[in-house]
Amino acid sequence: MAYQWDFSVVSRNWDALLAGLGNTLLLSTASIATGAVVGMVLAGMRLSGRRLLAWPAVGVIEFFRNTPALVQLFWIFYALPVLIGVSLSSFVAAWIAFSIQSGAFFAEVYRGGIGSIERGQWEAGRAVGMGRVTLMHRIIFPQALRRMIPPMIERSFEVVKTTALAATVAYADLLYEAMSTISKSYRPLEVYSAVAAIYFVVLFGASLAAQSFERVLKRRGA
Amino acid sequence: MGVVVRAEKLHKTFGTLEVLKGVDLDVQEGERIAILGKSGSGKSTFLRCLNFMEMPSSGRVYFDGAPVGTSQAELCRLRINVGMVFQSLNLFPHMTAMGNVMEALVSVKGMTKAQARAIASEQLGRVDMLSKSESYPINLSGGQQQRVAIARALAMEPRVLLLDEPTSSLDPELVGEVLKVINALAARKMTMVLVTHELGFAYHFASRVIFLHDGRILEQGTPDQVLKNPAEKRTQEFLTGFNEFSF
Repeated sequence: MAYQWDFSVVSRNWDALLAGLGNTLLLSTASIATGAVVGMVLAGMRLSGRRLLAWPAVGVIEFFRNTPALVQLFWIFYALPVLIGVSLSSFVAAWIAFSIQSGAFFAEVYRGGIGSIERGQWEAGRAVGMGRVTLMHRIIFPQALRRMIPPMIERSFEVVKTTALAATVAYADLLYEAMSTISKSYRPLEVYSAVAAIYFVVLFGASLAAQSFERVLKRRGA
Repeated sequence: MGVVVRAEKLHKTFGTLEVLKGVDLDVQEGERIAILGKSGSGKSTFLRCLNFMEMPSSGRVYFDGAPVGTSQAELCRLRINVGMVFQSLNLFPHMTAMGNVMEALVSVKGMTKAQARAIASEQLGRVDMLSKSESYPINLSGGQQQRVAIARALAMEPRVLLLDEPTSSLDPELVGEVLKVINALAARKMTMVLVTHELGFAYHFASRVIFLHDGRILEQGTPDQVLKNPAEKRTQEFLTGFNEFSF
């Protein structure tokens, strides 16, 4: 007998799923924003040319790039409280984990962007008397930023998808709300299909927006 | 007439390769020095040591009689006074021609935008680029870019201008317009040190010609002495093949 599809379970639980999507976007935005700053600090340390700063940064970057995000999340949610004696909410634990993890990736994006600026640009800035800060702020970073934006956007989409892991520590994101809907309705096929569709619509929509944004940047030129 | 820039026993080593083996030079106010030599003779490296684009391995650079230290503040002050024009042009691609010339006036000298714009307009006018002042470098020819780069360097009002093969990366038909600008600077008594392969230009441009060989100054003097009656065998060899062109 053919499976009887019944998507009414999705429409009946639409409010909960929407709230879950809201939480997914909240955690994503918080993690990307914090990660962007963490990445800047890590990249700054790594590019500082001082071993005392560069090596710890390399350690953090490589550790978080080469361990599973789920393990990082579990460690911060279950293990860190044992060390510091404070238990973290699932949101805070996920926020910390995904901020550092995305920060590690962002740091490499920044470093790649800055490293891609030709030596002549540094020399031209120095030759008119610019110090390090002015040179970075006025000449190198504005050029590097244009090259960083596409990989930054790409990385940010990865962060949105990664936040689904937060459901495993009972953060009420889209996936968590889906699972709790399923436990009441026994309709995994419809609900998971709907969740996949929601992720797709959100990320594909954002990707189209990002592409037109990049086109505008390219037109504005130079 | 004082000495503006003095180099004393400059050495530069890259890894195990000793590129400069002790070069001394006094640049007098108003002098136009052309540095010649084969590729690998160290002439570009020497020029780049004068404003610390390369850190000399040993030796000293003096500006206005005072030794230049290697702190960032001292280097910045030196570079404002000793401008540079590069072989690879190096305009800032994210700024218009006007923006390129204004930039350091605002961010280094702390001028207002209005003051900077006035100076930049004057300098762009002198290199005949005022009509293109709102163009981005990507929309300018190599010769036009180099003229803007010269205006950018001059806007800082340097006491000395270093020119590192300023026409070597240009298409032949664009070389003339840049040389014309350099000649105009010479007519205004700008102190300049030029590294070049354009011997004919060097002959007319320079008040002193220096021939660098293997990291040392082998011969120097007036253009007539060095280019027409070189004393050293190496200089003669270097000039062979050029002599059929009239200077």
